[in-house]
Amino acid sequence: MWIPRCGRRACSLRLAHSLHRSLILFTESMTIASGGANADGAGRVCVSNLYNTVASRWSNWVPHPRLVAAMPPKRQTLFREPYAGGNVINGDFEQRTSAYRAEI
Amino acid sequence: MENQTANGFHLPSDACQFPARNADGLAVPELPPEQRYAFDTHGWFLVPEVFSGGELKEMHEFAARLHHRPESIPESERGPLGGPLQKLIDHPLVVSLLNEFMAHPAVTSSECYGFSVESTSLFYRTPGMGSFGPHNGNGLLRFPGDVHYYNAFPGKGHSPHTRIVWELTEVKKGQGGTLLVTGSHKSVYTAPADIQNPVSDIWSTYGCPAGSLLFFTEALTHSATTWTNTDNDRIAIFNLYSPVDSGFAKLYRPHPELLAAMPPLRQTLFRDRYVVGNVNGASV
Ligand SMILES: [Fe+2]
Repeated sequence: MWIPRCGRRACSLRLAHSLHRSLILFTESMTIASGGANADGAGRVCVSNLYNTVASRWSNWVPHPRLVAAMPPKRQTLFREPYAGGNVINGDFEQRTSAYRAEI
Repeated sequence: MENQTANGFHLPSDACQFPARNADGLAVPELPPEQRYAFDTHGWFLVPEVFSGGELKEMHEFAARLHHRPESIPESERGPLGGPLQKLIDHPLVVSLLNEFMAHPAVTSSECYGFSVESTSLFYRTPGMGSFGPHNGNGLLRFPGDVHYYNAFPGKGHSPHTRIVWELTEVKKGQGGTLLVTGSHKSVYTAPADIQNPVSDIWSTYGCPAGSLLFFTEALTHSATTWTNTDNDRIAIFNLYSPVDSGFAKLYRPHPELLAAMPPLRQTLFRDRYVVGNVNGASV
């Protein structure tokens, strides 16, 4: 079904990878709709990935915990809990977001 | 609006209802225009003496016991959501302000709050306690996801990170109450060097009787300061609220037994952190 959607997801970005050869990137803030089948009747095969800022999220989906545990450490950081304060490895979040060096 | 219904759907605000009663069944009053204006313009305001008499005494005694003899309180109640303090978390005056400045209609219903609790703390300060440390401000300029921002639209202010302080003992002005830089949630410059002086005129503060209620947006520049009142200690409950999908700290989980014993509406303050479908009692 063709359902137009207008998002307020200003922090989300969608990446859709065609298994043939193409990559499309768009912000989830734009109005979008899924298209119909190809003219030759071939089905659409794609992998669609959706990204949020680290401090908030749209859905409550997370991969299987065993799958996350088997990932390299840097990739695991894509699936960390949604919160802002200090939620970075070897970073300096506080100094980058406030004019003052202090705890909240 | 006619054109919108012809081509799509109404935005959710038409269909959504804010809770008109809190979890204890108490009516939520409309936020008075004076308070709405003060919160948006100054970033803070105080309601004196919301509690007094026996009710205040009961909360004061529980908080003092929590500080001095926590082991005398059952584990599930051993915190600022325990005993007589729990009702503070969604007191009608609190819900009134948060409905206006925090609740997003799409994740709100008459059975579900449109905001969440990020933390709740007891501050027990004796003379000499409390460290000065200015933080936050410039709330229009934070990056997405950092909840220390403030949105201002014509006729609508939005404070996604709101602090609500219950002063259970008297606060004498200039003797250790929270310091606030009035209006700094909308400032676009960083403060001059005087911000590092706790007695500078740059700071606003307050005095109030026990049982008073302080609201401020966390986007405001604010600070603790040293408690110097030798007539009484500071006993204050600091509650912090965030949107349902984001927060500064990790998700706050009350003791499971305490959570299970709460009325269903109050439980919605502690739900998982995301947006889509994250509302009870409304079609999404
Ligand atoms: Fe603070």
